Amino acid sequence: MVNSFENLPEQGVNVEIMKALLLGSLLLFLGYSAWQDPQMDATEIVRKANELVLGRSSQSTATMTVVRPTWSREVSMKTWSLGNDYYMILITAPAQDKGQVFLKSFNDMWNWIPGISRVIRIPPSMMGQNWMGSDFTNNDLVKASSIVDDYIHTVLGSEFIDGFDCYKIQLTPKPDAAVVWGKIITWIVKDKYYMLKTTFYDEDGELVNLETQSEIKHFGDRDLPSKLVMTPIKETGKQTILVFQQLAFDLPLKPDFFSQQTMKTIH
Amino acid sequence: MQQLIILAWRNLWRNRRRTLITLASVFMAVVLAIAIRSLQKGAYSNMIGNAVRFSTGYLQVQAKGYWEDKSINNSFTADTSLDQTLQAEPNISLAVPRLESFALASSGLHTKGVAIIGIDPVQENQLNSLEEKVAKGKYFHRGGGQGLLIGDGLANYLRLQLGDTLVLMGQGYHGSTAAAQYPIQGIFHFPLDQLNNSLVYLALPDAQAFFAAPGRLTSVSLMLDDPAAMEATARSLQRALDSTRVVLQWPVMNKSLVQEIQGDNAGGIIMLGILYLVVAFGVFGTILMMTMERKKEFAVMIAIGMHRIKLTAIVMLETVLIGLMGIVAGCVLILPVLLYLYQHPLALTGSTAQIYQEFGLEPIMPVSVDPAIFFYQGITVLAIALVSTLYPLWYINRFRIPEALKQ
Amino acid sequence: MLIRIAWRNVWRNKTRSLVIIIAVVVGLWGGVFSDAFMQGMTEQQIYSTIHTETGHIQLNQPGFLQNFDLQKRITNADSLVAILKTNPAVAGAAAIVRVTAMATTASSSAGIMVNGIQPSDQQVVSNLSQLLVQGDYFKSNRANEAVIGQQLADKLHVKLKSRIVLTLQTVSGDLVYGAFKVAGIYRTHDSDFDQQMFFVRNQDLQALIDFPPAAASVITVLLHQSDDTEPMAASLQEQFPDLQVQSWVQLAPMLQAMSGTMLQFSLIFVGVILIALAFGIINTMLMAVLDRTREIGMLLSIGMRPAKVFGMIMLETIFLSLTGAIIGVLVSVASISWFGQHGIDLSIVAEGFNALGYSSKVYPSLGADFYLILTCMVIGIAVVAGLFPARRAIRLKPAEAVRGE
Repeated sequence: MVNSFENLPEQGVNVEIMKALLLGSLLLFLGYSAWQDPQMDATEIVRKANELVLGRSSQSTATMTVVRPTWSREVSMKTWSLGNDYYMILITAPAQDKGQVFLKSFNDMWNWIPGISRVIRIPPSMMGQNWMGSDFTNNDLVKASSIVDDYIHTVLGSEFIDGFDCYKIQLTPKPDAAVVWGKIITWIVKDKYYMLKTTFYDEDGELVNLETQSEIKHFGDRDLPSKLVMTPIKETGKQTILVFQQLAFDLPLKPDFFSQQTMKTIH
Repeated sequence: MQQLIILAWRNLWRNRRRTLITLASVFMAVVLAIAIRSLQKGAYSNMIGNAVRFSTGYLQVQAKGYWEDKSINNSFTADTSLDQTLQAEPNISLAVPRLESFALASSGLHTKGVAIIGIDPVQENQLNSLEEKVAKGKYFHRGGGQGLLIGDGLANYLRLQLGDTLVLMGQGYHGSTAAAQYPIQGIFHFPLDQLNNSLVYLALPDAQAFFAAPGRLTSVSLMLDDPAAMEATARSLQRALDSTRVVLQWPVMNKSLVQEIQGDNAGGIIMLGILYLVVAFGVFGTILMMTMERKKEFAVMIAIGMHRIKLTAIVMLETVLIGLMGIVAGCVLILPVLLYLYQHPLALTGSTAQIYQEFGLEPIMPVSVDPAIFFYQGITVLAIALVSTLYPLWYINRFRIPEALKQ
Repeated sequence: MLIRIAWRNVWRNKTRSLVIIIAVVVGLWGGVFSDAFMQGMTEQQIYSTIHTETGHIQLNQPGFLQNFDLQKRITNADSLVAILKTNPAVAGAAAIVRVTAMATTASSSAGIMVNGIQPSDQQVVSNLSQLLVQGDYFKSNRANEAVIGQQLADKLHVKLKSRIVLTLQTVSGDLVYGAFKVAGIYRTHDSDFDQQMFFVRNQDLQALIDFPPAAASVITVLLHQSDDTEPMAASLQEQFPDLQVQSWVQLAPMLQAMSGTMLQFSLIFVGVILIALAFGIINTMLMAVLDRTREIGMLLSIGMRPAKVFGMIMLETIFLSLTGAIIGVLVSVASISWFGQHGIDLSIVAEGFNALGYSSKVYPSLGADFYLILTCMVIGIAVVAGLFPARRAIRLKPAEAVRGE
């Protein structure tokens, strides 16, 4: 090209403007791509949703109701958590279970039963059992961060749930992930990251579990659903309802709090 | 027709020794076939009886849904109406109630998943002689407030001895936590190691208290006086119980036993087939020889004007009569022998007998006196006799008088 | 001279002779074949267990079989396997890491026994790879594949390529999860085995639970000759006094009891067949001799001594029995070899047999010594059976005999 930029001193300002526009559009383009890339985005969304409930650390008071066709049971508890790795639950009611403590440390679970003054480590054979008779298994309690780490996330689109605008995100298990679900679909509220609805499918694509969260309340420094309902679809009349009365986040909890000693003395 | 029968009958007794010889071959055929089949069937029902005694019983009453999901939540109440229904069923010889579930056993040093069985000590002992398997310590008496019985393998693993305390922890009825400790009251030894390593017995009231399931059972195992009437008993029982309880039969509960029996039975049928071949030949041989001997007689009959068809009919009737007499005689003779062996079975010997005894099984070869055996074997032998008759029938309709007379 | 007469008599009445010969053939074949069949059935059950499940001999740390304690392992298993393979009596040796675990899927779970194997070694000691109904036996190089039994697949509602999550403990007691994909589904005649035994590659299991690489839980040994089992087990126990060495007899005692019962039952059965045979021969011979009343009467009246008549008839019986025995042995050998190769498919007698996964083919087999014993027995019985009619014959009064009946 004959007309190089250097040969047009009278257009110096225009050169600068051109460069700026080029750079600007490049940045805009990059920013646009980043925003449009659903893969990275989706994982972030799920991570944020997971962190909303756990925080860096948390403490709560909650009631769990187990509903069955012919009976129901209510359990009250206090919980403490530190990141994804530590979790402790103290049962405060009913009387026959009061004083029991469950401790999760990484993949392991322990159970303290005051009546027999014994801490028992839960073996693999018991991990699949439901926790306190509910529709959650011991496995579920232990693998809190599983939905973030074990799946590939894709945004499928947007949908309104309970009047909230939600991302509809599909979770597909990573090839070597030790998870039983064939697929999970979750609806996460945009900007707020409440996980309002989650459906769990087996490997044949059949719906097995439905989890819904509702009744947004203000706890400590954030808004959260205070009610979680887990419904096993294949069996009628079964449900587990978890209601948080109180939640606090980012307390100064340390790993050594989550120990067998604490289990025996906490109240 | 009646005339023909009379003729046939007279023919038979005209040559007594020939008739007796043929009769004897049919007789032997029936006796041997019944004997073998009776031994086979006796062995199978013995196998089944032993297997069900140490596992599920012939029948089991369970709550509906328990078989698919063996959780303590699928237990049922043991009420007096159930007792009455079971009492009223005449074929039930023993009813053994149990409350079974899964728990962790911990000695402090080790923890292990175990099966907890709450038992009625008297009924359980009648079923499988549990009391004599308690090598150390004491067996249960009826009632609660007792300790537990564990296998020697488990006691070793947990480093526990008589009198030590074992902690049990599991999930109780309706999700409550079951946790308690019990002293080891007795240590048992079973011939099968798996049971020694993973079984814990509690007295039924104690198990019910442990699992927060007062008055509840997971199963009642039933033994029968007449196992052959099992299906009828199951049906009548199911009718008498409400729809929340089901009556399961052992083939549903013990598939591998069904496989084994089917396998053995198939082999047994082939063996029986071989026996039929041998005895069939015996019967055929005698009938063949008899025909040969009577060539002249037949020739004379036809020559003096009897229709071949009539002669055919007479000879057929002769065979039928011999067949029936032989079969009846055979059945009549073998029956008392079998009845005797039924009460006093043949004994197994040697190392085989030893192994049986170690497992708490009787080392015997029992027989079955099921009337069906007599019926089916009788029919088969009759069929063999009739098929053998085809030869003389064929001969009679084919031979030429002159050649036959020359003999 | 008597011999020639007897021989000619035999061929004079072809039908009669044929009937007796065939009676002996059928009787001999019946006895021999049923014995071979029962042997075949017993052997097949034992064979199945040995060649699919236990091998002839198993070595493990004492006490391991009680609780499958991860700490009770054979630390130098790999070198032990190498040593065992050099033994000429050994057809194959394989090390297995065996741990208990829970298998879970979205809708169900089951307690199982995980077996970490070296597929190439394992295929020599166990024929499980030939019992696959779907999929393959670790053909691909993908990690974390599993071969499971049909029973377990049904219980967990899984099929090929399904994912099963295992919950296990590492050697230090920590909980760990592993995901495995179903690569193959097998079916044996033992549905309990099918429900429990879960096979994965050794290295996948060891990595998951931090199991030391050269170690194992059990070593399975398959021998060339089943008869070598007891002496081999004894010598291995001496060679490795720190380990527990057991033969299949100790690992599956009920099998031994069953085969013993079969044996005793088969003795009775063969006895029954021989009674049937004897009876058939007596009858036929009686009929035959008395058929020859006239002829015998003639011989007696022309002065032949009764003893000689007796001898003649006995000789005839012996000729017929021997002929029958020879043919019988040939027929037996032929049928047992043929069926021994092709097997008798029991499913023709029991419907739905195959559906239960039971191996329905029985391969009759018989040792040479059995043939000899049975043949001698049959000949002996035939001869004894011949005695009655022979005695009857010489008792005939010549005058009556000549007149005929």
